[in-house]
Amino acid sequence: MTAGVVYLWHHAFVLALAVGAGAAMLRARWLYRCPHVAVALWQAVALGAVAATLGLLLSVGLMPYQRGLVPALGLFAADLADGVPGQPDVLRAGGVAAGLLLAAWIVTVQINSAWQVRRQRARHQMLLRLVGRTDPDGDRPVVLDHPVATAYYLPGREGCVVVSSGALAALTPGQLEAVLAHERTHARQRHHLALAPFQALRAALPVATVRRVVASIELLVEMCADDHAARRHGASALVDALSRFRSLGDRPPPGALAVVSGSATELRIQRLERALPPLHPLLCAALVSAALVVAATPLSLFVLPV
Amino acid sequence: MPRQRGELEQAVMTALWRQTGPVTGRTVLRAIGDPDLAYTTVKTVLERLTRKEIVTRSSVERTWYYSAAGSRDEYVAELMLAALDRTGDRDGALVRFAQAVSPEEADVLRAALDPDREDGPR
Repeated sequence: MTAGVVYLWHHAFVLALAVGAGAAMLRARWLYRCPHVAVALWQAVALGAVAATLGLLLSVGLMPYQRGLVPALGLFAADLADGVPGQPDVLRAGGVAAGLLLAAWIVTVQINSAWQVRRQRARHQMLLRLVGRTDPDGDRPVVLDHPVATAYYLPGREGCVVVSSGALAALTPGQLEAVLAHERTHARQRHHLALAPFQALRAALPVATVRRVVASIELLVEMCADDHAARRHGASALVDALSRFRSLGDRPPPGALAVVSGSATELRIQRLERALPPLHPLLCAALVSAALVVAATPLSLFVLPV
Repeated sequence: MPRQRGELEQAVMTALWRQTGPVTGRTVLRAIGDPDLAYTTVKTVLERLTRKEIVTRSSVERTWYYSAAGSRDEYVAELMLAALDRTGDRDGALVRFAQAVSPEEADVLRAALDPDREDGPR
């Protein structure tokens, strides 16, 4: 078996591994015991899957060159320019074209989404300045006068935590502090950056699997923020606040059987109430390094061997 | 008294929201009623808000008349809808605490916005 074929199999293997890991992680409840690690695992799985898919397509086209994908692409371009008839053939040219198109699509989707989100945030920020109530003493949230209860963090250069007057009325001071600590954790740990590539993918490719994966990562990010808020203000204050939000909204529409949208809040409440011990740090470290290896090997084959 | 960023914009919008129809920059300046505030400053803020489509203007006999593009309640509704939207197309902009809105309430919020602004910021 030549080196080129080995690369092909390697990319196929990593892709299968990433898909298998993703499928297992969609069902794994033990990830809730280490949400930070779980988010990192999802990032590694996604990176590995993307790199392996691109690598697989490009390897089909670049197998004869027996090089890393990036140097082989240079040789491929040179062959194209020389115009040797029948060289490269249709299958190989197709593989390279498909790989490059997929890469271009991914980059476009991400840039386009970043641009749109930026504009949405800028408008949101400006409207908040016009209609929000701000306390002069810095650290308090912006208050939006509306009876529906909500609390959120608006990311950005002048990012801020916002609560509605409905939420202020619904929560006790202790619950409010827990909610604010939760939102400030989103801000401090820059959760929006971790979510952005996944949310961009969902906006571009809103199929069921993608939606489930992104929802699962969003839930994990909430759990990261929950953990911090619970450490600062006690799990019970946060559980009470979550229950309050759930009772105010998330009512199923008339005739609906299952409260699908409520399940994320429900899972967070259950998790905080059970207070399962966090995963052992050594196990966490092992998981993260395994994920790094899986994500990094297809990338290394893009350059090696030169 | 020095003003923080956004405070002047807020004062200008509050003045416009109190008016019944389009008004000139001078009227806005009088409505704010700050003796230290220069007309040109108000004019600059009005122009900036016009560019951002928060304020609309029309020319009558070579004088610009300004009015708010949406009411205060409409802008609050827009923010709340962005914060509560379940459809997923605005998810990238915020990180929320929990979903606390019923589908009926979301419909009320959507109805509060003009149909032509429903698809969000342009």
